[in-house]
Amino acid sequence: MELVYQKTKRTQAQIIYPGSQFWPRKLTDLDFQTPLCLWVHGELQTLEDANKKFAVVGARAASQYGEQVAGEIGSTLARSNAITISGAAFGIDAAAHRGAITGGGKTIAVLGCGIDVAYPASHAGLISRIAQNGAVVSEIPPGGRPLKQNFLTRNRIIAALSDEVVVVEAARRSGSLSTANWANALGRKVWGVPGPINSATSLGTNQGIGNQSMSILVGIKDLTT
Amino acid sequence: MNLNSTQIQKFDQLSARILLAIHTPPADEKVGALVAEFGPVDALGKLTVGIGTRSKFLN
Repeated sequence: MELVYQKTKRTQAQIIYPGSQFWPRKLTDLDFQTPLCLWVHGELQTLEDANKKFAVVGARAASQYGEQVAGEIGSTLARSNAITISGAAFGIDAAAHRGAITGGGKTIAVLGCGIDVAYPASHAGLISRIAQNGAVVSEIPPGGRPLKQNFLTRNRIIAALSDEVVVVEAARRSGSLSTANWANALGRKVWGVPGPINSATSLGTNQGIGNQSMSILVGIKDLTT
Repeated sequence: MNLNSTQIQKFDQLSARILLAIHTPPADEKVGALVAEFGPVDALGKLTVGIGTRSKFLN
């Protein structure tokens, strides 16, 4: 038990829990699946900021088009004082975070590993910049490894923290679709960015738009109007 | 008791809160009160009853 606390101290993370200041009230929508605490690096107030929060998620193996759109969404949201939430992964996640930072806005990364574990390792610098321009959060104790199941359960937190979710590119079995499913279950609006019909990384979003589990995002300005 | 990964995660989260309450009072008063009454180990035991179920004690 003491080890968790020592590791938390070492990583200089802050612990917030239901009822503490800046605990994101939106998380209570998760009912009994609400995390019992979160480890946070960065500005706690970003989590309870009154400005609108958008999750921008999608494929790790994204296309150039997808990364460009994610970056533009991040920077456009930043310019309208909205907050971009994502998972700090390769591809769409990273492009969205970078767009938000470049646009001078706030961004939040929800990790699927301990807050002191940079995953992917090459994103250590990005994760650090996210903490300086918003917050990095995790429900996994410091030192926690990036296990596959962590990312699926992490997606519920991304969805719950957000007011709206934008899926930029997602393959048919993409983890981003689990974020979209959570968002729909929680009553959040879910947008899908349409892609070429011959692109595997847009199959999930195109299908989501087709079966109306996602609203089609025709233009980025639709998010801010 | 065999715990699944979600339950282990919750167990760790509760452990962190107990230690937070012990080391940085008055943080987490609700948990702190349990620790004061029962001690950290029994408090953790009480908190983990029904872990991963619809127990709303801490939510």
